[in-house]
Amino acid sequence: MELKMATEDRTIQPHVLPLIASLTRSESGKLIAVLTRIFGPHNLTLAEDVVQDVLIKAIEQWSAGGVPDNPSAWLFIAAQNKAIDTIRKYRRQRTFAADISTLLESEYTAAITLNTCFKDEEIQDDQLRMMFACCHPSISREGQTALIMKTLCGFSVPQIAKAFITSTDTIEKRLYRARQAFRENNAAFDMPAGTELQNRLANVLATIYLLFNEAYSASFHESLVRKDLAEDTIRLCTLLVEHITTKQPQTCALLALLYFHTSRLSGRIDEQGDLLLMKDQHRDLWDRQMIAQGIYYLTNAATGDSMSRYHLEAAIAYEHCKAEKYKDTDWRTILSYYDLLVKLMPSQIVLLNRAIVIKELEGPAAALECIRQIPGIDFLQEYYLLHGILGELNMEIGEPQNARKHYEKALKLCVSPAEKRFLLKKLSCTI
Amino acid sequence: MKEYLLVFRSTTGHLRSTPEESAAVSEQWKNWIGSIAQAGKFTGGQPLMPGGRLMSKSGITDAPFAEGKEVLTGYVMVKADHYDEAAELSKGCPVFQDNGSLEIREIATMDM
Repeated sequence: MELKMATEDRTIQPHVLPLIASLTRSESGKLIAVLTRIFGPHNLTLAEDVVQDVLIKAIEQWSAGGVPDNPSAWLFIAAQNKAIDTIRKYRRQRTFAADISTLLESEYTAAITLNTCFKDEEIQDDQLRMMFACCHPSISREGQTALIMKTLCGFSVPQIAKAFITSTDTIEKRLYRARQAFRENNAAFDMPAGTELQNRLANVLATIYLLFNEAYSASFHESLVRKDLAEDTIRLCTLLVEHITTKQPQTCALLALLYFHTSRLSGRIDEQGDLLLMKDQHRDLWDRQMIAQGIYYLTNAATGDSMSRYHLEAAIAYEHCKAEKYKDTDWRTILSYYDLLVKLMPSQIVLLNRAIVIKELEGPAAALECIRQIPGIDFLQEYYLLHGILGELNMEIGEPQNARKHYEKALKLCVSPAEKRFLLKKLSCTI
Repeated sequence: MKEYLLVFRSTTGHLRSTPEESAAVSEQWKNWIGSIAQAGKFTGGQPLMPGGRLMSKSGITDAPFAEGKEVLTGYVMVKADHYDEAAELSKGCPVFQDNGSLEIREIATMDM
């Protein structure tokens, strides 16, 4: 949420702002979800506006009268009051959620209907419905991730723009289109059923996975947002795991994968903010509790006979977490998982990652040969990691000139400062 | 399908003194209206505040709502095919618990 305006007001107590910022992240997603359920998906913007108003009112009132004992409960009550005011204001002009609109329009039933909607378990389900609605196939992938970050995770447009290393303008446009599709295509704010559920769930999982990749990739350079976003993806995936219809093996597998990767997040960067390769990371910085959670969900994922990419990727991540030292890594087992993954999705990126495992098992020359044989490797010519890897492999086989060429290309393609520093260091070794 | 107006009259009205009482009454109205809405036959309605003004050609006065006399407490509109169906829908109305009455009127369609 944008709170700059409010900070210019002299009556604002500065200590209130960090509290509001953290509540925005933890509560606004729930509020937007329940209000979207009440007002109807066609009134998404109205729901967002109401939440914004409630947060501004909180800043004003808490600055003047002190912070309430239970700030989060205060927000929910204020949102409920604001919701009924909004319904009274617009009931002649607008319709609300189709199944309850007439009940909300009548004073006989409005307050009690709202009370029911604001029950905890309802709000829990609303967040799930919101996730499915944000992942409607009519919304572009990048629109889906931006919309989830904005509505369910409570990030501001500048934060999202920073995260994706793009302008606020671009994000505004992306959100504009996404909201439009959201309003037009989610007539029923409902969990899909049957085959539709399977299709949409696959889409939701893919979006969470993508969101996590954004958080995990080093190009996502604002480290604070990165850790928050990684934890958000765990929170969203946990909601899916806790719901009977969406608790499926692939959901558990994805959650396991998120835990394994997040457990290593704080070990990936050194004191200077520079990237560390896995072999140089301090493994005692890895979060053991998260790894335990990952193992728990990976065990839960092992039901049924479907083997998803998330199963395999979680299994690979687990092998890394399990190794006490880098040299203990069981590359043979990892390779067997990659071979299965290649069968499931023979993408150039998967094959490239497999080549890195080949390097560990058979050396850099064999890995280079592997990369050369990847069908359609030219598609990755603009992918900086390919050149980073080729640089590294060429160095190892004693071809510094080739290495230099690839590192330079990687530098040109890469956008994150931390990665640029990393590549510059590598480049200086080629002379 | 026609539309009917259900008008409620009772001596106490729906407004109760204690929050518990009023919550219980709200629950009853919600259940009754909710069941009509579930069937897609609820089109609207509002409760009314006690008191009011009575206006005629000769002027305006406070409505003479004497204690113990039946007053208008609210209205609901429903869709139904005929009076029998409207009456069937009206059966669970909480107004009867106050010994109140319910008048059913078909909403007119005016010719152009």
